Amino acid sequence: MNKDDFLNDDFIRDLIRKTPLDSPSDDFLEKIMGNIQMDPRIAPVKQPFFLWVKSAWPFALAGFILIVFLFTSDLPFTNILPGKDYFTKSFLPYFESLFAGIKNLFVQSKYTNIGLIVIFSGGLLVMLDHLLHRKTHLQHPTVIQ
Amino acid sequence: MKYQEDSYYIERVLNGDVSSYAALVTKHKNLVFSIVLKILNNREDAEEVAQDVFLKAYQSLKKFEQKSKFSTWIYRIAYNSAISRTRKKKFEFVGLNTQIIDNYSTDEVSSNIHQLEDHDQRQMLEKAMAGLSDDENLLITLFYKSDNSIEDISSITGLSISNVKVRLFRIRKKLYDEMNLLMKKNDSVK
Repeated sequence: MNKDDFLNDDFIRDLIRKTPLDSPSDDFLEKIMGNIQMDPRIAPVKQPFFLWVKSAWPFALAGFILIVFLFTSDLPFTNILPGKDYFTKSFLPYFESLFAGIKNLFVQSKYTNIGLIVIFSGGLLVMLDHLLHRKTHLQHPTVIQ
Repeated sequence: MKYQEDSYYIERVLNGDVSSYAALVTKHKNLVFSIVLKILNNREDAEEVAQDVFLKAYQSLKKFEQKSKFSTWIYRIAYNSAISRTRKKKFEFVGLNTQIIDNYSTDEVSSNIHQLEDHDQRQMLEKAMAGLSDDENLLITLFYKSDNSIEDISSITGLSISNVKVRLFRIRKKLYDEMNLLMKKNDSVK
């Protein structure tokens, strides 16, 4: 026998798997769930705030981009958005100097444009991957025998 | 029954869906109970400790950083809880007393056993495993029954990786020795 044969011994593995594991009593699950839900000494599990932020950030970012786009676009239907006048006439001027600086950045160098497009595209891909990963997770469950 | 990955249920529980914890319990209760039973050798005590394991895991779930698998984490809790219950510092992994019988090949043994009916194969294995000690049974269960890696088993039991490998090698050899002897006895009876 070689010392690593045990790693790949499918015969022993299959044979051992034919014998079932020991099982607890039939009401094992009920007892545990009952203790969790009824015992005040066991504090309910609360999601740490950072986990909530971690899972919600793609949606928050997408919503923010959409709002900025709608409020700054010239599309005709956006005129009915409440607060748009205030946003464009009173709020945006405060950012004019900042936008002017950013605009110069775009105008002066084509490489900046390319870099920003790459960063923006990468961000969108990360967000899409995150959303698809969550969906795939739900569609391909693990089979437990 | 189909289950999601453990991380899916953990996230749901952390989001406030307590009922999702039932899926984690159902997925892992048999092996948790088996680990505890092999150490305590008493069903009532094992049931009580196994329940405590899942309650402890629930209370500590927000601290679980997911650097290891959830299964490795909870089996480690089960192992340590059972050890604490016996008040022993460490589960006694005793030295193996193997007879050196090398005048057979494992292929020959497995081929002979394959010819038996499923029921007879199980009986043969149960007789062979009855000759193993509790710690040997525990390692066999963790490695062959539930696909834990050597590293996982090392993490669960506190044994070094090389120690786990050596023990599994010797336990496998012992099983083949036992099965070979049982097959020869069967043949001589016929």
